[in-house]
Amino acid sequence: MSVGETEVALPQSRSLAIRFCGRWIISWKLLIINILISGFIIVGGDLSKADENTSIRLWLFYLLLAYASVILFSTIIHRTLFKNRATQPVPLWMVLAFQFVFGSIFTTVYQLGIVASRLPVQLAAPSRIILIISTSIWLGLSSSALADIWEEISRRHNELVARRVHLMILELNQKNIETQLRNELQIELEMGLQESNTELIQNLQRITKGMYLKPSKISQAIKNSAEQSIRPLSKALWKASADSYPRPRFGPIALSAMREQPIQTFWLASLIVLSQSINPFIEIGFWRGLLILTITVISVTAICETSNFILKRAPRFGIQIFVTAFIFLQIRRRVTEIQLERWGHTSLNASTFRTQLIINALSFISLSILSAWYVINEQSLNKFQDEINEEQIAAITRSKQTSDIARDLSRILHGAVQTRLVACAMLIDNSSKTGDEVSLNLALLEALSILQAPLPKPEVSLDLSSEVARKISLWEGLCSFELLIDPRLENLQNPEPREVGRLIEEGISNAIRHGKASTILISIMLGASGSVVIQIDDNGSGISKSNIGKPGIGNAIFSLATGGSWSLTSLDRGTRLLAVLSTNKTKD
Amino acid sequence: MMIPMVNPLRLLLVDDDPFTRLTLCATLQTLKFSNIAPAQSVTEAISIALEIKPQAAIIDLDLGEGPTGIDLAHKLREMFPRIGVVILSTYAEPRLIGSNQQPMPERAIYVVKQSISETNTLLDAITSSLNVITSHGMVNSAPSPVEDLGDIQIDIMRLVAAGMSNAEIASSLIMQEGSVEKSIARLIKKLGIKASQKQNQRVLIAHEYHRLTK
Repeated sequence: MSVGETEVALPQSRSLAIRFCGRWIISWKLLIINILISGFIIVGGDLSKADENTSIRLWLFYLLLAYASVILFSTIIHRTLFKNRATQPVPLWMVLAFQFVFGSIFTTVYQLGIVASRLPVQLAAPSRIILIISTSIWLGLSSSALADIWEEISRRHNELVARRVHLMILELNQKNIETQLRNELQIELEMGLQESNTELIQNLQRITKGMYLKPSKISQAIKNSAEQSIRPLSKALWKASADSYPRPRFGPIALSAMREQPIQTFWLASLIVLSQSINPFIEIGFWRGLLILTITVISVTAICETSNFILKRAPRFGIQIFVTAFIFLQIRRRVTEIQLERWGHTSLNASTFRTQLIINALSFISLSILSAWYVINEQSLNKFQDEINEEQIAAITRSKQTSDIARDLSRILHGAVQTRLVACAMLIDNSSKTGDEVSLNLALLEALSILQAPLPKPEVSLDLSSEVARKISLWEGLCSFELLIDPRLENLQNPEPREVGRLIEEGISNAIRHGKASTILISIMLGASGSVVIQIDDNGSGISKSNIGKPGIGNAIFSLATGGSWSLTSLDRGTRLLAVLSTNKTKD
Repeated sequence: MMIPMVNPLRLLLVDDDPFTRLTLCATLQTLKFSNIAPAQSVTEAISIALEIKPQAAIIDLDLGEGPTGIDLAHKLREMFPRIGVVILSTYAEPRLIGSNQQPMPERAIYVVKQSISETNTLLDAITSSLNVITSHGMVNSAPSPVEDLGDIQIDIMRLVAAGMSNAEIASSLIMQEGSVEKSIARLIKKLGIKASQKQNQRVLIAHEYHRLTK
């Protein structure tokens, strides 16, 4: 999908090294998960070997002590060396060193517990240390990477949903929004008010027909209505936006895992090496163990990479390739076991073999599903992003002026309607206290009319001189004005008089608010190529140096409207604002 | 029991909505104010003020299109330095009405309409606005929930609530997009918005803005 130059760039994929070295190196959530996993493995493995001489309490004490030690160690590193890891990834060697020390601390303390509690374990102490440290490093690194991927996807998802929220609002600012928004707001407001205030309206109708109801109750109901029922449209809009992102479902992910995804060689090889090769490595001696380990890594890599190679060339046979790879991996495993048995390693019985086969199959499928989950999420996010890019371009090309109308309406809705309802409530209170029936009836009728037709019409002038005169009249009294308009601009259509009026009002407000001007001279002239030149001279205190170049809406309004063709200069007494509104600008 | 005397204070009452103006007039009359001059616009308010020389003014912050109640209050202070000023508003903080506002005039009393539970609140505000003139020092109705926020942060909050993206906000305020992101992060922290998978933080900012400007 092409969306042209304005397409928002996709965030670059993070390298594995960065994933290992970011904020997830130390995370309390991951630490708890890893403790649970390792605890499950240790309890299932070691505790089952306990006999009558074993002190379970002592063993448990040392296990908890080992966890406490690594938590303390992680906390210290979290607050010192890795303090800024979220923003500046730490070097990979430091992460490996951290994981190594982490594993070593845990293993040392736990190993002391094994000795102290007299727990009979099969493996000699050094082999156990190697095993536990390797597991710790592998578990730490893989969980960091996984969490980082998860976070990245969630962050992108949230960003996209947020952008869609913006777009849905922008979409409302279309050409005919004034009518649409007015209608929607009116309907929503009336529905909201009527739903929550049916009783209130009935009461008001009854009381205005002469039936008595306690005024304090009515005034309280009106206050509640003013506070609770004013913004139903915006709430509905937020809810609709949050539901707009399609979440990938498990079914397609599982299918894609077998049919389309390449096998994750690195992770699979790590898992196999860790789970199957270290134990025999220790039992059959160092050199034979090293040979088996090397052959395992090479054979697993060869099977996986060959499968991926074939998958690339014959994608329609995805499932067959997936199953074949799994069978080959099992054959490889069986061959290794036969060789291990020859070298004196304990042979597996049938039930253990079956269990391991199931675990292998599950691990194999899980890794592929994980990979598919990532890829499908990526594709889905990219598609979503493309859609949003297109929507954004469409939304930006629509007139920005309509957002002003929307804002005007929302001000009417939030300000005037609520103010009037609260005012009604106050008057009802007062009238009931003083017994002033005329005021009471007036207030009740007013409340009823607000509830039934709450929106007044906004005021807009169509020709330049009346629009500018209207804008100036709003500020009269705060300042005296002189106005000169080039007669050739009388029937100005482009740029729109409304746009000119908006800039003039901004200039007036700046001169009065920041320059304390008492006299303002406004000249509107026809410039080159049909442009409109606005000049506003005031006798105020001049330009404050602190405000020059300062970001703000005021500066931005001029920059956006004129495309940067505006200036502010000091006069002998006061300031001159010069802005050129080109014809083409407002056509876009 | 003593019957309260009629209060001869010359009051200028400015509100663009006719019914609210009428209501406030009636309310002030029940509070025994006898010299109330209502006005619906800045221009009319200044013209009346020149005539009656008010001692206190009750001004709606949002006077519709054009100048705000704060602009008028500054002008009245310039004309009558000792005038007591009460600004009435539905906005929790005057800066929330929009950017490019002047600060509140010194010693003015800001009253959020929703906080008016009874008519005496209005009387207290008028009394305070006059008292702070004769004594010195400032009376605030209540600590503002956004007083810790800078003007730019309030602008950003408003623009987020208007549905703008960071890039659009950056363009609107002539800022770098990175600065907008940082400002939003600080805003989130200051508003005490917690990160959540269920609700987008920008949406929560918008909710907060609408809550403060209801």
